[in-house]
Amino acid sequence: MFTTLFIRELQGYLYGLRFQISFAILVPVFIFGTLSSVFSLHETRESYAKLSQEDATTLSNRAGNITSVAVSTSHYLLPPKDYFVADDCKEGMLPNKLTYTAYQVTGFEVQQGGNNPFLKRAQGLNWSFILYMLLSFMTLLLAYDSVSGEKEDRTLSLVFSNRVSRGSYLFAKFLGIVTALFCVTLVGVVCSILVAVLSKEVQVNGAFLTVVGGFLGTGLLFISLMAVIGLLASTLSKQSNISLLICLTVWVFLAVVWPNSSLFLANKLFPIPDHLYVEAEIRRELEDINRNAPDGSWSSNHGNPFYSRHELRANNQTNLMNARKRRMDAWYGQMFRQFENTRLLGIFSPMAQFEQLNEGMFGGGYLRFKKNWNDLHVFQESFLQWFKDLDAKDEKSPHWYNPYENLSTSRQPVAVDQIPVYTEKPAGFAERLAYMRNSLIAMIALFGILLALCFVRFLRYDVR
Amino acid sequence: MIGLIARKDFLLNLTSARFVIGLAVCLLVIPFTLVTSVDRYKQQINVYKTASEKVETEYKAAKVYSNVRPSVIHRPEALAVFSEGVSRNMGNTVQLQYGEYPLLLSGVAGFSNPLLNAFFSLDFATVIAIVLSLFALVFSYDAFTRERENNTLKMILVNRINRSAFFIGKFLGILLTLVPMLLFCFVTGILFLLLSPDIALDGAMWTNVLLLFLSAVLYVVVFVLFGLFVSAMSKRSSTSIAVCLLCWIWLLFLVPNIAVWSAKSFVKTEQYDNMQLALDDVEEPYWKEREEKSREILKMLDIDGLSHWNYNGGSDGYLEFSGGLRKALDYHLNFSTWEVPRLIDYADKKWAVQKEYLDGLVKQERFQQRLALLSPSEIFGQLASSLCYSDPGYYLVYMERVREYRQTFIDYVRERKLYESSTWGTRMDPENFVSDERYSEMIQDYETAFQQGPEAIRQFRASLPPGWNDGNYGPLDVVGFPVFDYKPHTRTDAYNFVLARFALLMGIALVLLMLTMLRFRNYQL
Repeated sequence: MFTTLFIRELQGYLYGLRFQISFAILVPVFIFGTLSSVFSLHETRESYAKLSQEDATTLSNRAGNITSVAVSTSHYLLPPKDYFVADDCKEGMLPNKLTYTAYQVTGFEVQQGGNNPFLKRAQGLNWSFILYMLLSFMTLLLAYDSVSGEKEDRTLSLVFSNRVSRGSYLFAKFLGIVTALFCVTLVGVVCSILVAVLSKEVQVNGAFLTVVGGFLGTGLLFISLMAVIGLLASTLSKQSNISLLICLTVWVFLAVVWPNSSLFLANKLFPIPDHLYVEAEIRRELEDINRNAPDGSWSSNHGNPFYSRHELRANNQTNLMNARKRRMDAWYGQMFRQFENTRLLGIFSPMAQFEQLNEGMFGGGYLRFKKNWNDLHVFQESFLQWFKDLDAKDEKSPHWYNPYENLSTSRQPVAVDQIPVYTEKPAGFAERLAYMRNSLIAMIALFGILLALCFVRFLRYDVR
Repeated sequence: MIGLIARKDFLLNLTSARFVIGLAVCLLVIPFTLVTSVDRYKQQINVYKTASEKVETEYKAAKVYSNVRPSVIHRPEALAVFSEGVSRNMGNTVQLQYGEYPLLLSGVAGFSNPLLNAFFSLDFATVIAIVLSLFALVFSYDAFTRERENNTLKMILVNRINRSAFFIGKFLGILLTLVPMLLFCFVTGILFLLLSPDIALDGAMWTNVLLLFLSAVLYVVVFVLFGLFVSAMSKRSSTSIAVCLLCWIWLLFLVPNIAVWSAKSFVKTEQYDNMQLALDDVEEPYWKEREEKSREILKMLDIDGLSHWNYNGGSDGYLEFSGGLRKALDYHLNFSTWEVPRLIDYADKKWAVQKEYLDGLVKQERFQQRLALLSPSEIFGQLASSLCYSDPGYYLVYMERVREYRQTFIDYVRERKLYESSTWGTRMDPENFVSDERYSEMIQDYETAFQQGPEAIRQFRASLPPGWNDGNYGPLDVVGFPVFDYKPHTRTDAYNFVLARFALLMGIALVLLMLTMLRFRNYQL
């Protein structure tokens, strides 16, 4: 009986106008979105290659003097990835440029790159956005009258006059909606992969297909959750237009209002000091250090590394660096906490859960940024050690480590290929899983609760 | 008869669940959006005030002309509370430079945490665009189909009721239901503005609020007519609602994104970093010329190396020093006289590259803007951001004024040849600089004092000629230097822009009205 019901429901949905319009909208949007992502990826890669070349030239210029290598600011720009066609994980908006010297990791910023400040901020037209915004809406649109609509048409009482269990009926409805919409997603993704293959911009290999498989898995879970919300709304009312209003209100709240409230919530619930305050505090502390620095701490003689006052200068500069670093690291910590806590607030929204699951799946977004930030700190320590080891071998160096200036450490040249360069390591399986854990639990729990509610509600539903 | 139908529909709508839910959504979302927008504005104003104070203090503390370098801090526009436009993409600071034209606002205007860039925010105009258009469709999608399904349409039209009158009555009935919701939204918005002590609007701004309200009414009219049109095209309410809602999501959420990403994909612009590299290329000969000029002056003055007691300097003509060789002063006088006009010349050359980049951005933005006109919500959004001084046009004009101000400032400095005076880099009396021999002796004395300890150093410092120790002279008088002033509502282009969008919305409404009337005349009962 269940199979008959399921096939009947599925046919009903597939031949319905709503599904057909949804299909007609979604598949072209998938293709257009992928095309647009491929173009964007191509542009970003070209620019990235140009900048990398420029960085290599800069590094070879610095290689004439090892201290210059150590004290000059280098940067690591997060390279564009193939998975951007599926989900860019908002990496164009998150900080994507990390700066460091041998002495410290100095900070991070959002590289303007190809971003046009005169264009309104818009989420990338990638697969994730299509599922998040469009498919969620279409799922509700397909599900809202599953029960109340049948009641209005008086077909519900007819169905239950046969030997059909309510559970089977509800589950067939649910499975019908999910199957129909998952088919659209599958067609859209397959078309998109074809576009990606033809563009030659994306390497469609085993690894890529594996994460796409994972994405489809999270997508399926997301569609199921939205379908349950639609079914619940349908069981809450006897009239389909009321169910529709409930669905629309829930969607507006979940997809539009709640995600867009994060900025306000971050500011109100987890406030952090602004940059002007932090800068003023740092300036005060640095002025204090300079005021109390021993005489001679500012004297310098570029011609003579062993000029006795260089030691005082190096100590003072180190103190200045440490003070700034301490303040900045504390502030960065506050930024991370503010972001993470704000995200945690959104854990109850299926859209936020889906977003985080995808970040974990692709190893992108905040997970990628944070991993690079942590890894860069480890690299910086080894970079400093490398510099100190080379400096220790130079007899012409007084070994007074000055983090900002090329005054009192080795001025020997070094081969460019010997200079340590930071390389990114993708997040491992365990890291990704840990990142996804909360969202996954929340999504499954929410799905379970809503399904149970829907079931209980439907058991008591007056079908007459 | 029209009034009767409108009244009946209005009263029926008022008691419907749709109205209750619609009003509840407005009650919940509008105040919340306003609270967030006002809060954001307060944050921006605080940043603005702190930054302005800092800049003002630094400007007034300048002791030499090379450091008299005004920064322009952009004051956030209060009306952006209604529509934030592209304001979140913009910084708030411009530091005037001799060697470069200001291109865009830099710095941080609001939230300091760049990670929060990943979050989007809603503004009043967007909420109006989303919620009111949705409810306009929800109220109108079954205007004819429901009557047909309930068999009431036949009964009404068998009486002596003109179909056009019936249609107009329906339309007015729905509009009458939605206008109170819209009024509620605007009254709440205005109350928020009036109750916020940080926000003060002038007459022109209130006019813009009124225009925004009228635009919102027109926008709602467009969606009501669209819903009626779809209803007149359909025989069943379920068909009508499916078409309406799928069109709604297409117009509200897809067209804007497609417009942005089409512009990004098909209208190429130079990457910002590539533009910076191109600027470096333009600037490269300057650094060579600079080095040659420096060598030439050193040779002319017969100086082996420059020695100062206190020195602070950098690129773009920044220079402040006190104490040291007399020849060092002569060097700087000669060098600044050459350097500053050269920097200004190079700024003109660099501007060609910057302008090309800026034109690319504008071209891309215009493409996006035109493509987005396919969606009434985007037309309304463009209209709202223009009325609320947060559209790209506002920032383009603002930056043009800043560049004009830079020119005025440079003209002021050039006319007075400030960079040819010693005050460009020092306030010390030239007589108090010393000869090579005397300087060597002083350095020797300092070394001795250094060996003897802090007390000897203090005594040595006290014995230095007047002005050698940094801070022995007060700030310069900067009264008379040009000051930046900008009034947004002096823009005439904005009104043309608004008028064009208003006319477009009106045009869409008229076309929909005609089509729906035509369609409804032939509607099968």
